[in-house]
Amino acid sequence: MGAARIERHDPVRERAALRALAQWATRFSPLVAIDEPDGLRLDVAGCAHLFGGEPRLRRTVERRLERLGIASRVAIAPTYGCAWGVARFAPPERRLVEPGGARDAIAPLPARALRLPESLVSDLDALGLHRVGDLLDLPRSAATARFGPELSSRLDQALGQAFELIDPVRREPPVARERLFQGPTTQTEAIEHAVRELLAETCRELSRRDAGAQLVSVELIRSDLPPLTIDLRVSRPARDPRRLWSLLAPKLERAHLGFGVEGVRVRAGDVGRVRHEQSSRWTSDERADREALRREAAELIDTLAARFGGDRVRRAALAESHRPERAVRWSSALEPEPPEAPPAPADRPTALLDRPVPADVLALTPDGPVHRVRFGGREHEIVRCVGPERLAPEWWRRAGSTRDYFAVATSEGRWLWVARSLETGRWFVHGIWA
Amino acid sequence: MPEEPQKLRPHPARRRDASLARFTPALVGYAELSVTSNFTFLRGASHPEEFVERAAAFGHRAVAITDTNSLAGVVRAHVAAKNAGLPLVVGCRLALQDAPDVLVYPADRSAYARLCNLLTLGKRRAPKGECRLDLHDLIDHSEGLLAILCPSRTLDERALEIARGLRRVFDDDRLSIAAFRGYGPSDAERLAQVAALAEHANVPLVATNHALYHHPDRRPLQDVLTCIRHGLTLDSAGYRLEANAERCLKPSEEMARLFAEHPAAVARSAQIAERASGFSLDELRYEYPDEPCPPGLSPDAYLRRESLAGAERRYRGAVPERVRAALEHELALIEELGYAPYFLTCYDIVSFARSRGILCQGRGGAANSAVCFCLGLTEVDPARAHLLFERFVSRERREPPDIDIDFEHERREEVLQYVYERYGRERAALTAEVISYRGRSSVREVGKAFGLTPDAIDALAKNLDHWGEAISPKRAGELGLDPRGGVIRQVIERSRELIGFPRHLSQHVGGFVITRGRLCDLVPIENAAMEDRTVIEWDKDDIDAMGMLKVDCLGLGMLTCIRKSFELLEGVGVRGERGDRLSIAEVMGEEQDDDAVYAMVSRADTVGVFQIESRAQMTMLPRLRPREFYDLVIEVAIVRPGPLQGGMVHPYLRRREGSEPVDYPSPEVREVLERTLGVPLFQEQAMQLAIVAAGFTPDEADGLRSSMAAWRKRGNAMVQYGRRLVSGMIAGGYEREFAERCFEQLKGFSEYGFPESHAASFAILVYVSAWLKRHHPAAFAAALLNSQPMGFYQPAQIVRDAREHGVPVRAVDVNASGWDCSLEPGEELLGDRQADHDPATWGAGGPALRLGMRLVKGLPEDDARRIALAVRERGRFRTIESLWRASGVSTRALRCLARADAFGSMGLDRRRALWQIKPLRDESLPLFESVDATSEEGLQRLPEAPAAERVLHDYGAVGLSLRAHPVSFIRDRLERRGVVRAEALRDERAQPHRSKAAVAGMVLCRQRPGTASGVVFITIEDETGIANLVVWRDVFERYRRVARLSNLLLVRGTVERAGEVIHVHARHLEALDAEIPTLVSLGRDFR
Repeated sequence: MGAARIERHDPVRERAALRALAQWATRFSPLVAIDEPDGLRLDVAGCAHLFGGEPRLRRTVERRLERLGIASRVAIAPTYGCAWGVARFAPPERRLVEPGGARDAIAPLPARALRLPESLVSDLDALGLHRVGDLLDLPRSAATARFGPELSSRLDQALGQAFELIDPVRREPPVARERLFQGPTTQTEAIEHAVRELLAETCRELSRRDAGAQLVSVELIRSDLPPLTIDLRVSRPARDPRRLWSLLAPKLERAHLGFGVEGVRVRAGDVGRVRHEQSSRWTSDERADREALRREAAELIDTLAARFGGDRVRRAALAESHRPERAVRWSSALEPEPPEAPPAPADRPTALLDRPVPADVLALTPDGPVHRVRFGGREHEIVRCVGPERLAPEWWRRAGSTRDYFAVATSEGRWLWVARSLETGRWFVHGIWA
Repeated sequence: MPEEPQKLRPHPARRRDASLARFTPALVGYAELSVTSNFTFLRGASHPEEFVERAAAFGHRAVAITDTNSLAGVVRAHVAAKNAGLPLVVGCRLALQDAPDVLVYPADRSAYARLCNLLTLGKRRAPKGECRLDLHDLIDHSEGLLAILCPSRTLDERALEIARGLRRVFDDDRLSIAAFRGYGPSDAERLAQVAALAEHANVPLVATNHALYHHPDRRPLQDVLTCIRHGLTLDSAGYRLEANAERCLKPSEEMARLFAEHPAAVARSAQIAERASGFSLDELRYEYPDEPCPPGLSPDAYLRRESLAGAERRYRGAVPERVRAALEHELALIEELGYAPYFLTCYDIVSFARSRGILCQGRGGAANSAVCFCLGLTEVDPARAHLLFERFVSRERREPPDIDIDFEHERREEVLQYVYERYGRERAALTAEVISYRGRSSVREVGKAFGLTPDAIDALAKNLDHWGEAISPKRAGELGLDPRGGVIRQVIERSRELIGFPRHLSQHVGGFVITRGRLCDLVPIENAAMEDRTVIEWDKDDIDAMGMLKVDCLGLGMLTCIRKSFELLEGVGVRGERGDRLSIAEVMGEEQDDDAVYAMVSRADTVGVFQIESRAQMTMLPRLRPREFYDLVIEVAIVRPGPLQGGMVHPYLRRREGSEPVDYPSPEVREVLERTLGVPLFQEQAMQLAIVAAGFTPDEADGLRSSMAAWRKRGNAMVQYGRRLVSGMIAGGYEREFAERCFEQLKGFSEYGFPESHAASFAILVYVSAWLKRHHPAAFAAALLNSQPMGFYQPAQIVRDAREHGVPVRAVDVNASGWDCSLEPGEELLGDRQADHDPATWGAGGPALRLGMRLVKGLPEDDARRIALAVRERGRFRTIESLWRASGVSTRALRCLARADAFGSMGLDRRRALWQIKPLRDESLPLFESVDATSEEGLQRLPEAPAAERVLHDYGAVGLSLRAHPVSFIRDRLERRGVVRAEALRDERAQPHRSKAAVAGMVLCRQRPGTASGVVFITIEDETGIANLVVWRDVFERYRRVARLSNLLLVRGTVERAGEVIHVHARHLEALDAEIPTLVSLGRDFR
């Protein structure tokens, strides 16, 4: 056994996983409902015989879940209320309740087996009414006067004296389209035509669902080779067939078709919601402009990413740090934009060198002014010098050296950002004003 | 009594013998005039005295302390500056609402008063901790102030306008403009702009460095403070942090270099400092208020008249000669030193309390005074005690006397409001208490700044002791955090720096400062968090250093308890001689030598008795066996860190038991030490010894005492006095060995020793409470319960103790209980009456104790009183519903009472009462009205509660049970594991000395005495009694979690017997909490 691994509780992911499990469970019954936060309920009336009767169905479900790495408690009972309580509170050998056995099955269970709110359970506990059986004996009118109608209705549901509706999950089929050719073809036009049509259909389907895809996969079914999948990843959920095609086309051009393609498949992945495109009449001009700019930038990013690969397109953003090399941060352009940081409290060069370049600097006193800088193989005469601006390291990270920065103008009118490390006394150039 | 919390950082005034730094002025005349100390909370990163010391080391001409809108740090700086021989410039940075900051410095006494008034104005109109001032407020108070304008970020027309306006107000060249070079992005440009502004406004520039810390090494801490202030982490604080470490004090030459283009600006700083030194805090004259004195009578004459009249009253006309002489001696000294108004102020306050029936009593040094006794300030009879007035008032010390008065803790507020009313808020205010970062709070705040997860922070903080332990690599390592890892190491270092930093000003528990003139001419006054309270900016040490009078009005729970006992007794017909309510004086006067009381005390049967109820006291009592009042004085004093450390206890006990001879080298020494069998136990004895044996004057003896108090911090002065003491004694014909032994003993208890007078004051309360416990156990227990929280024990132990003394105790019941616990007619006695030898009979035949509804958790007092009133008016109720309708209380209150099982008289147990309450609705719902709530339907269907559940619910709802002890329910299981009952430990044959034993019980309290080198004492209780555990440091560390947190412990160890004192030295601890899952936290930890 390995060491325990501790993960943060993530209710959103958990709910998604439960939803996926509900889809999975439709193999046992067409009526599967999610029971937040940790349960599924299946209406297996009429299904059990397909699996060899109720006891075998119960075992099958348990075993299949176990194979998925999920520990489970599975019960089958005449009412849903009864099954809920029995699954959670009864020992394994009592988790199969015959018709007519609900009352006996729930009587020894604790009161919370009736799906009661925690406050009601603690009220009951204070009165010594710990078990369902204690509650079955109470005069109903006196109980209702004290605990409201919920207790009675839960009892009735467990005993089958009241109906309970089930809200089954619907299966949302994945968005995918397929076309098979008459026979293997190497005709690029035919393949392209098919892909464009499928893409259009896919986008129509996405639009119907108010959704867009961040991943579009095109699969070429080749006659003598394994299928070839071409993935397109975009920065925001998209469903514009023309745009998607313009990004896909170059990739398709380079595809190796082998002896022929028998069919194509288009699938939309990473589907997310997209709001209806709004007419700009309803928003202010400025906002619309900004939105348009953003959309165009996204399109540019997508085009670049499609050409060079997603991980090669990066975005620079200001970050709040006195340390120049930390005042700009790079991230993948396909990731969401980081929030805007305030500008630096002082003028900063338009171009910061990735690595400070050592330079020979002549200054008569440590605090300046700088007279001459040798940089890039040339000697620069300095005509103006602003500084020093002293920037200390972010001591809580790695200790570094405090530096004195000078903005200096060369005789040719170029401005350089030079710095001296107070620790080593060495000079270097860190940036240039364009 | 809890130890005075250890000062995290001693006030400079307490470091009496701080070596004087040799101060040599630098060649360049410079003084830093913009200094933000850590009294500008969460901004400044150094203590005021650190700035002073560093400025002195740099040879600055002076140093200013300019905290934002505050003078809270100036006294410390003043004292430190005097020690260093450096002039201090008192000042303040005014953060104005409508203008840039202005630094101001009073140039004379009246300007200082105006500054204090200005700050008081700004603070009184703002919520606590804030100050609201406008430019025109400053202008109104500007006379005599020197000012430095700190120019705003943008230097526009408005900036020039303000500079020109201020120049007109601060005429006579009193205004300057601050120039600053902090290695910012464009310093030179900015400096040129500021210089231009100064020139346009015709105001001189002054060089400053706007210091936030004294040394660049404090930059990290300053960054952390910035994060704490903004609630951000270091990574997210961004540009809110300073870019570099330049905001420190800099050498004069460095300042001259930085301002090479403006040499006049550097020189200007020294000139301003020179001009500001026209005022020093030494000039503040404190004057006593003159109200308490009737017109036409001098304070001295009035004090004489009242003292003599008091003496006549105290001694009923027969004033002993000794007392008369003491009075004359004291009155002469008081007159000489001009302290009469102080005594009269205290007399006035105490007289007010008496007139309202509030019990009060002076403590501490004041009890050394016959005048105080005669005025009724103290209760220690000078005819019986050995007073040493010089301990209290000393001619040489030139410090005002310090009278601390205890009042009933529940009624102290009345006294405080009286003082405000009588002297007015301009003249009376509470002293501040500087709340500082301690081990836990500092690691919490620093951890957050470093972005540690809440879990990690919590674990780090909780793993520290309550005692203010600082975070250390060891503690962090215990949690699996690598203390050498970057972040954790940084957290540890920064936390340790932060400890001792002030975090806010709070109010002192009861220290009043009262003046004749306006108090806000001396020190700014601000609002306190509590309504109707005002507080000055200085704390107790500041006040002492400034020689200001303070009256401590403290709250003492035992006084409340004694008053309530007397009240209860009056109600059942136990009264004083004249048929009125009993008084402390009466109990003391008539029966001070009641053998039954001493017999009880000697058996350590002292639960609830003042002072001697603690574990340490209880182990001492059977050995000391007090027989008379003076033994109680010794008992109170001896179980203290001082005597324990000084090694005085064992010689004293041996001599008392007669196993060691008592000898005195001379009759004079005999006179001093006879009452403590030749062993010096009190501060006064040390002083007297110095007088009679080494030829000290009384004032010199007081100097010896105060040097003893500082011995542990810096021993120099003490060594000097010690040498004089020893040589003086040898010259007086004593053996060197005796002299040195005396000195060693004095050193030992110097720091923690009690003055005898204080012990005597407390011993009075010990005697009175013991007397009540012995003769009126029911009333005493009721009064204790009604005065909670106080003392060492929880209601469960008080009730248990009362029952063990034969007091019938009756459960809380709506038809019988009031809010308070009360006395009811007891049971008829069938057999013997009380027997002295059998404590279980002492309460028999007396009144019964009815528990009050105040014990019911969650029940509002108002609801309880309404129920009691309804019962009084309408008689007993038969159903809950009728009680509910008649009293009008909420169903929530009824549920609290039901959980407390308080409906027994209606034949309803806890479950059935809850069942009956359940259908009642606070808001009337007509639909539900039809439900017959009183119907008994269903009642029989409710299952009976098992016995253990009843007991646990009793504990949960009332904190105690009259039915059984929770441990009794797991006794079977415990027996199978070889655990014995606590009472079995008492049987010496079954459990001889050094035998092995296992006991189990609920934890009542944990204590770690400061002296016991890491030993923790844990007291546990089972159904047969208590067992005292000693947990040595290594065992404690091994079972740290269990030992600190468990409520139910199983302990295996060795029985240690010393006479009647039995301890179990733990070897192995086990938590049993899981055995009784719902057992709630009942113990009281580490007091």
